[in-house]
Amino acid sequence: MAHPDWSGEREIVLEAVTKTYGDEFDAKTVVSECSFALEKGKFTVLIGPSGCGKTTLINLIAGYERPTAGKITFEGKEIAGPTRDRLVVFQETALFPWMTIFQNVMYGPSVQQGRPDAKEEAMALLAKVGLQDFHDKYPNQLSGGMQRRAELARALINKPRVLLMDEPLRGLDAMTRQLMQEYILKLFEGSGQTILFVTTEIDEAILLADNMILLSSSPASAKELIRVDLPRPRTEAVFDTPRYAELKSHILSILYGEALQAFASGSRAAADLIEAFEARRKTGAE
Amino acid sequence: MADISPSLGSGSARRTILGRAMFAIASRLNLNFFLGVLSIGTIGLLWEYARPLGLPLISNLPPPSEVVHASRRLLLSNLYWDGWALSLRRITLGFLIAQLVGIPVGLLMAMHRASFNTIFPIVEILRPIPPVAWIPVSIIFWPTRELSVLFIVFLGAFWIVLLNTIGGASNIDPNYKRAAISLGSTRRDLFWRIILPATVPSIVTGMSVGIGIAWEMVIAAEMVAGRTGLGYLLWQSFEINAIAQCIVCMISIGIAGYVSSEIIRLFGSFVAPWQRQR
Repeated sequence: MAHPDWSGEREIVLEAVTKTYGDEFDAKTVVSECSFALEKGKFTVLIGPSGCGKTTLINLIAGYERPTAGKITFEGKEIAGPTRDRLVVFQETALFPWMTIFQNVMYGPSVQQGRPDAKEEAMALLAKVGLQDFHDKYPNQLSGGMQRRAELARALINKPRVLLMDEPLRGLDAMTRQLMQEYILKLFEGSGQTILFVTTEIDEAILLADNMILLSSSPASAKELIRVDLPRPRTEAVFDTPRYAELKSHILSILYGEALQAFASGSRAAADLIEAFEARRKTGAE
Repeated sequence: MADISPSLGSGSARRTILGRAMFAIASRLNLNFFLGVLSIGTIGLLWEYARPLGLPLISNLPPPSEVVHASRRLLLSNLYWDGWALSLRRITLGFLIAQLVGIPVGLLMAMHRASFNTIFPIVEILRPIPPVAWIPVSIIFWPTRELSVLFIVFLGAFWIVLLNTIGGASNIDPNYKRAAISLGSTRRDLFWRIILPATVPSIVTGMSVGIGIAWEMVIAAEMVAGRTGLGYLLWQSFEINAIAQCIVCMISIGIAGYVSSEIIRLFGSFVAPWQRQR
């Protein structure tokens, strides 16, 4: 896939990135010739069948791993390692269990030093994510949704240029997930924050995204780039618009092909997707 | 006091159900308590009257009344309390040295590949040898008996804390380290604020197992190599055929072991408060 024709300033650019694990005798290519860009100030969603290499892409962009081939640049410079310009909100959560919520949020400022008013900022951020009354609790005393919000606050206090969210809503129950989606919309719409958000949920992707990158199944590469031109601010009401239906059926038809491939290699999530697609086609025909 | 005169037939249905439920809970509690008392009481009585009843084996032991009598005598003697003091000192010193050596070496081995590869083979050769088997060599090796006993106690607590520290520090979720590095940690921050606290729960587990082994070792070592202490007193009582006194020593050692475990547990909830309330 060639470069997208997205017009905005490109904050992060991947050029033909390939990542292979193992040695020459037993190699597994997880990401293959993957190219895309993150537009500055835009909400970009990365969607693809589970197990297709999305987390590897996040690790590469964060600087935790190096590509085997290809190049990733951040503001024009090649990425050499992790920095606090690109912060990850991890799958499930990686809040430090031995620190209170407040200490977790304060971790960044406390190791960076030179931030005298960080404490007030931390409390203000916790209030913003609705956790001011829980600042002295440990992560395991919080619900899943609260943990995700606390981890968001831990990243945001460092004012990262790019926020990398690796399936941050995975493992939440349907109700909490929906609330968190609305919450993320409220937090980031109009904020100008550059975000890469990984998900496997199509509705979630459409609701949140400015730009969407559809990944092919393993090894991952950008199969199609879609601009989600639904008007903002968005609410759940977008699900009733014809444009949403159009986008969804387009995305489904692409992912369907990918899922078929993944299904052949034994992915359960892919089987679910195929089932959903077939059901949809049937109701469409009636 | 409220009027508690019986009012059968009066009161709402709800109150009756509540009353019944409470009665059920209370009677169950009473039943459990009663069963506990019954089983202990039965054993106590069988033990006390084993000789008149002609019970085999158990009548080889002095009855509880004799043990109580022996304990009264023993509890008034300096010998007994000196024994406590010396055994406690050995346990404390041996156990603490084991932590002071085991925790840093374990952390080093977990974080530094070359040190792991250097030290681990030695560990694997020495660890399967039960600490008690070290007693003779330990007596020859160390200049005093006191040091020999200390060394045995040390060994009892050392392997377990070493292995638990290595295990804990090498199984830290890599995302914790990644998050910490992204947020700007120096190597020092990473060690003191991430790796060490993440390892603390495993270290505490090692300690609570280690303190049990340490007590076994101090008793065994005192029996063989000591001239003082609860283990020595226990063995001496046996040698002079004061079996009631033996039993008093056994119960004392049991109490000491229980108290030390509780201290470790309290220490654990103090150093790892995040694990307290789930």
